[in-house]
Parts: sequence; C-alpha cells; structure tokens
Amino acid sequence: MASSTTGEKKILTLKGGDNEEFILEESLVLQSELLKNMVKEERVSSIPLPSIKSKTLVKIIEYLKKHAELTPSNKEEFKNFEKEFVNVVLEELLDITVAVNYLKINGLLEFCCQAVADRIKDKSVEAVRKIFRIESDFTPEEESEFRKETPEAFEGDLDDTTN
Amino acid sequence: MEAKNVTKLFDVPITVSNSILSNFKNQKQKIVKKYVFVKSDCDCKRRRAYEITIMDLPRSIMVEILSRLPIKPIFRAKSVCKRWYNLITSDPLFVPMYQTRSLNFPCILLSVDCFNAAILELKAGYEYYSRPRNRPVMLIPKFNLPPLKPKIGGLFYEPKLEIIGSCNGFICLMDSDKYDENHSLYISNPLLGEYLKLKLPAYEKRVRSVAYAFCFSEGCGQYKVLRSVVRKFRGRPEVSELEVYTLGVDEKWRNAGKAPYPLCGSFRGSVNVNGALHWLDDENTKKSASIYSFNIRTEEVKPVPAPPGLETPSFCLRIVELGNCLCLSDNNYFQHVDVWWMREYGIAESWTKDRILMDSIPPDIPQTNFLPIIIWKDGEILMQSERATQLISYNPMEKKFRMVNVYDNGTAATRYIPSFYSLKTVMGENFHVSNVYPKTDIV
Repeated sequence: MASSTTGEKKILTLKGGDNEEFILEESLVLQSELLKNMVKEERVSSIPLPSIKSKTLVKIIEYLKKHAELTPSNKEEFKNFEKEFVNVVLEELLDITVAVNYLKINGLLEFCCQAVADRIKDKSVEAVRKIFRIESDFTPEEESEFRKETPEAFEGDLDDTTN
Repeated sequence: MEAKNVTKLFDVPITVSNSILSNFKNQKQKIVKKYVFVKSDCDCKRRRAYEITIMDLPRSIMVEILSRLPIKPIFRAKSVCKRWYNLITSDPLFVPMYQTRSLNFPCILLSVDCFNAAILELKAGYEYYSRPRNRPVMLIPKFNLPPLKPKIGGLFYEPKLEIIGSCNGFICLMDSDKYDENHSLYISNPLLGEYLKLKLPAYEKRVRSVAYAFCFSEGCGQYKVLRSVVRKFRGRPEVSELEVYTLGVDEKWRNAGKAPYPLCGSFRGSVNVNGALHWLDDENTKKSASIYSFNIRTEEVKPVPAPPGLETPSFCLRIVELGNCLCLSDNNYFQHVDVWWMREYGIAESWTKDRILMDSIPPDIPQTNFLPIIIWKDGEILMQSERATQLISYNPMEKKFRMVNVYDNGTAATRYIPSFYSLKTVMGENFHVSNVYPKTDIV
C-alpha cells in the first residue's frame, strides 16, 4: 500500500473492484488522464478503483504496457495485439469501454468504441437487438415506416454471425 | 426498479427454452430444469453488478460509438430502439461528431439515370476489384430527393435531375433543363430527406444561357449558389455576369459583377478548393486553357495560373479536386493521360504532372476521357471514364489500373461527405424545410 521507490521509478498500487492489488510503475498509468491527475496533484501512491473488475483492470494494464513499448518498428505487432485485445465476449468489451472512459485513456477509448461499432455495423436490426440484448420499444407501424423510408439500408450484405 | 430487473431476468431463460423447444420437442422435463437453473442463477444483485449491457453505457460513449457507423448501419441503428433513435436524430453531440468521422467513409454521389441520384459508400477493406462476388454497395436516396414536377410539353428536353454540386453533405440539384424557363434548383440533405426549393430570378427573354454552381466557404461559414448568366441586349455584344445567392442570408439573388465570357459550359464542372470555386474557360478556339476562381468569401473573380507551357485546349481538360489540391486531367493524347497537381495553391511553378500511360489500362476499360473523383484506399485515385459507367482505380505507386465493381448504371460521380446537419442550421430555425417523407413522430 505504501509508496516505495526503486531507483528512479515510482511504484503505484491500483486496487481493483475485488480488492485485488496491482503494483506497477507510475509512468505506465500516466496514459490515463484520471490517474495522472491523482498522481500529480494529490500525490497518492495507492488508488482504489472499486468500480472496475480486476479482470478488466488486468486487461487495461496489459494494454498500457504494450502501448508504452510501442515503437515505429513494432507497429504491426501492436496492431495485432489491439485486434486480439478487443476480440473478447461482448460483456467484457463493454466493461473495458466503461472503465477506459472512467480512467480517461483517450486513444484506447476510441479504439474500444470502434470495436463496439464494428459489432453493430454489418448486422441486421434483429441481430443487433439479440446480440446487445435490446428490446424494441417501437410499434410495428413505426418499424415498417423506417423500412419504407430507407429500404436499401435494410437489405444487402448483412452478416449476422454473432460474436 | 424491481419489476424492471425481473423482466430482464426472464429474457434469457425464455430464449433458452424456446430454442431448446424447437430442438427437443419431447424433452419438456429437461427444459424446465434448465429454466429453473438459469433463473436461480440470475440473482438480481449479481446480475446487475456483473453483466453490463450496451444500455448501461453513458450517453457520450454511445454517441461516440454510433457516430462511427457508416450510412446504412446508421439507418438500421436508428430503428433498433428509441434511445438510439433519439441519440442519432436529436442529440446535439451526434451531428458534429459524425461530421468529423465521416471523412473515414469515402462516399460518392452518382447520377444513376435521368431521375435518380444515389450515394455510394466505399467500404474500407472491401474487395472491389474481383468480379462477380461483389454486389454494389448502393444507398439510393431517390426516396429522399425532391419529387420531380411533371413535365409540361417537354418535347425537346428530357426531364432529368442534374447534380450541380455537393458541399458538406448538402447537395444542389437541378430538375429539368437549364434552358427550360421552368427549371428549379433544390438544396437537399438526402440523408435526412430534407430539401428546399430555391427562388430563382424571374424568367428573362434576353437571357441567352445560365449555369449554376454550389460552393461553401469555411472562412465565412456560408453556402452560396452561383449563377452565370449571359444576356443579349439589342445591338450590343453579349454580357456575362455572375449572380450569387447566399443560403440563409440573401433574400434575393445578387449581382456579383462581370464574369469572363463565355463560361456556361465549363461552369458545371467547377470545383471548390482553398475557399474558392474554380472553373476552366469555355473557349474552343484557344490553344491553351485559362483557369478562373471565385473567392467565395470576398466574391472576387481572379485568374489562377495554369501549368506553364501547357498547350491543351480547355475542352480536353477537366478540373478536379484531389486531396485538397487543384488538379487538371489532360485527355488530349492517345497514348497517355496527364494528371496535373497544383501542389501549392496559386503558385504556377508548383504544378506537377503525373503521366498515366494508356498501355497500363486493361483492354476491357473503354478508353474515353478520364475524370478523377477522389483519393481512396491508400492513395489510389478513383476515376470515372466519361460517358461510360465504369469506375476505375489507379495506383500511382504501382502505375496500375484496376476495374472497380461497385455499381453498374451510374454516371457522373462526384465526391460526397455524409452529414446529418439539418438545412435549418443553414437557413435558420424558423425556415420551413420540406421533407420527402412526413416525419415519423417518435416519442
């Protein structure tokens, strides 16, 4: 819990929702606007993040590490890592998105939003509802109105394979 | 609160039981067991704490997500649920966010036939080159274009819908022929189905010809419609002038002074670069071409230097905009097409030439004039062969052409940037904007 310094590197403890602790270099969390402010202004060494599941936190820390190691030479590798990073079940992706939004890690937030959008993009309305567990609150008349206005949007190369 | 959770709770078990029902008709016992198991597992508290759904995302994130969708998926997303519908149609964050994102989805606007225009979304990563598998990715906004008025006694002119121009998602269209005294101009946002009919100056007998252009100036944030008019007064030479109508500002068309004569034919292919509208001269007898510009903010007409030494008459040239650069495509030769780029705006010496050899054109592409439309797919130039419906893509690195199979009956393509801004943002909140479809009232 207490802050310690090894050489020049400052160490910080993050505490996830399940009280699991993660000890990491302070420089790593500076990518998060929220944590950066807490570290710089309030000089804390342990930050409780009760709203973020440990599992989610592990993923995010993993990303921060990879992102910190990003150089022009391993760009491709990082891209592949990003692809794998969001290749998770929907709930997990949403968990990460909410946490990243809370932590204000802007680049990753954009990437997560794109990943969610990609899951909506090529699917039919019914498939989107099913995958995202959304109940339609439109009347059948309203629904048929939408289809009448833009029939092209409801036809064509839709891919309803769930993920 | 409690009731909500209960309904949510039952979502899953019911779907499970249904799917199982269809598979194992006679095993009802099993279904009940499964049902009970799932239900008891879904303790309200745990579920709320652990299973986040997309409906739990804050508004700003949801807008972030929805604004990343291309056009067709936006229309589908709108009909998923009321919350998404409201975010897309009335959240103040959505429209500006979509505008910044929409550059990621290159689109072109096509005249499909005399009556219809279409928006074509070019999907990133989509294989357009290989043949039969790819269906056109076409969004036909004919549903949203202004209804055409019936043609009265039109023996000479085919009724048609011509695209005058496209700026930030607004398009300017002309129905029937400009020589027809009853022609009308429309400004429309085809994605919203909104349009308005522009009031044109009263018909004058002495008007010999008219032509229109549509432009936008970032500097003053104004959309202007230009009209080039040639009038003939008895006993005097013809007079060529420009008239301007600023959307949301002007009550009437204003005279903007003399214009180089004649320019009617070439005014059509005018392009918007660097806050000015550009067009080529319209003289068929001159050996070399002149380029003119109309500063959209100051309304000043000025010549722009053409490539030094270029000796191609203007009817063999096409003026285009590629990646914010003023360009000319020179179709004067049999063996090659030259694409000229004005790398630094206004600097004659900055014109550079890319020579495209006709040998690199596959034999099945008709070798007519080539008109570049946009830069897409890692710097490839999407072009249209004039008078043909074929799109082709040119890769300047490989110096190779490829056929692009996206549509089969479009002509005259222009760049289009999708936007959900209402015409009211330009015309004023109180302006009456017509809508192709009566607005669906969704509360």
